[in-house]
Amino acid sequence: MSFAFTQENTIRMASLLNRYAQKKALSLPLLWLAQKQEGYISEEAMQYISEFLELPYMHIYGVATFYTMFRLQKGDKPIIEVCRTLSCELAGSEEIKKYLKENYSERYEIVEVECMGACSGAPMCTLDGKYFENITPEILDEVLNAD
Amino acid sequence: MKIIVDNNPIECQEGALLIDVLLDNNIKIPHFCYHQDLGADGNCRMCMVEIKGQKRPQVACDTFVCEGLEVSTNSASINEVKRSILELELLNHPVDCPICDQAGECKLQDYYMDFGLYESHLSTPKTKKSKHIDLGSNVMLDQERCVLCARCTRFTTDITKTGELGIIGRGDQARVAIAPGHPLNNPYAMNVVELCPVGALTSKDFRFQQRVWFLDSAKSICHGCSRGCNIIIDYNETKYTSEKIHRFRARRNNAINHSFLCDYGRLSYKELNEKIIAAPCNMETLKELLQAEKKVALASPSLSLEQLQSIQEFCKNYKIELFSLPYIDESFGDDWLKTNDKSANFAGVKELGISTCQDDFNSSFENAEIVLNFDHALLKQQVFKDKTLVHFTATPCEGEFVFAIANFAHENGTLINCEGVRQEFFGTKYKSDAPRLRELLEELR
Repeated sequence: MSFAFTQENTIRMASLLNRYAQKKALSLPLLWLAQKQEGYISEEAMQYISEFLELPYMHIYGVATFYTMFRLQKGDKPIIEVCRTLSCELAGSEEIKKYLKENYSERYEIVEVECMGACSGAPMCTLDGKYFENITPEILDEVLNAD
Repeated sequence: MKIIVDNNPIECQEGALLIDVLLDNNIKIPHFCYHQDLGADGNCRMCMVEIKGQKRPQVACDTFVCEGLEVSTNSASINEVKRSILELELLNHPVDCPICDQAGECKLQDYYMDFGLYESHLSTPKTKKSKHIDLGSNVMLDQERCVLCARCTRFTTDITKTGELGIIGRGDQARVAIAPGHPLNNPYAMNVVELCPVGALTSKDFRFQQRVWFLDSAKSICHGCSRGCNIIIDYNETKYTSEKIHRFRARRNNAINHSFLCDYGRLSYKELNEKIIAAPCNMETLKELLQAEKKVALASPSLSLEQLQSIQEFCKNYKIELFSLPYIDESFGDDWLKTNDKSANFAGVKELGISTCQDDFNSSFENAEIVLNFDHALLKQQVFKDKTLVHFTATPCEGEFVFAIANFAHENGTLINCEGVRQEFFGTKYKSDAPRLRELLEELR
């Protein structure tokens, strides 16, 4: 198994490279890019990034394990991230979390995360990176049973 | 008469003390104050047992057996009582077991191992991390002992630039680790054990071997190559074993090795423990041999200046041609501490003006009848038919004339390193079984 960025992401990588004085600064953006491309960050991807940035593998691995939003294992279910920070909490995320866990945890991987910057639409969650705001159990049913 | 203890019937005398019955039947019953020859005192409460039909736990040292008594010594509830009693005993205890003489045969320790409070009073459970992880290169990691000082990760990042170690996770999950499939693998790896201020990184070679407060230390110089790294030799002699060297540690010297050693040098202590089996020195035979016409001597370039000087003097007296050849290994050196010249004192050899010409040595060697080998590795493993070899050796060596001499751990001396730095080293406080080279040569004068 080996890892390579898609053509589109390779172009993205090149443009990011011009943005920073040091190659090392690309550690986080490239990890994000790899996760976006494959849904998780594989060992091969970290190996590729460490070689590209000329940094020890351990450095990339250390960064990837520090941030909880990086996923190092391939999941078999789509991911729903539910916000658990203040605004959403006040707008009733407790009920949303409970509803999701009770009804959808078999089909989806439900993860609680910190604020994703969409407080105006609290409570909110994401499905495979796509934002859903002002959610209620009814809206969730509609979205998650769409297909 | 019979009583029941932990569901097993036990034969006993009516009216006997329960604790005696338990002890006589080898049933484990923790106790401090009771002693079979001093009797009961009942003050420690350690021998609590459960007795059927009684609400509260009873002390076995104040209970007399009667027909049908049913005793439980090991139920969850009675163990909880023992645990509480131990906790009370330990309230004002200094818990200085590591330096306590009783450690290992202490009842408080033993009982605490059996019934202790292993869960702390924290309201959240302790974060468990991995223990005895083999990082590679002889280094073992216990993540729970780590204080996350990052000395080890800074060593592999900044000093060796190999970057094997890092801190993964965050918060109370943060821990030192290697990346899966990327073990610690560099020729200086074992320095992290010495850098670690706590017990998180230990050496596979040294761990569980000795308690460090039983070790003595000698200031010495590593003889592994011509760098002359400063070391501490940790050694001891115990009641039942002869002197043994247990490890080398780096001794800080900013001009040479800072606080570091290569793994090769660090582990080279092992050959100092090898026993040399040699026939008893027969000086008279040796003196006769020295009457021969054609003689040549080869001295190890790792001998000290003092030793080389006495060899020089000796050779002059007996009219022996003296040579020394360096131990060159082109694959050994690197751009830091290790040098291709694996002799500890070749600069010293040159300073004393001892011949180092390989061609001259070869031709002299060819003509010689008697060859004196002063601890040089080159001649040790070879047999020459038409020559008589006399070995003065600090490592095991075969041959007809082998004179064991003390190794550098039992010598004081001076070495000159590859950069011309002159350094002294000192031996351990014990005398070696083998005599020192200079003493031998003195006898031969």
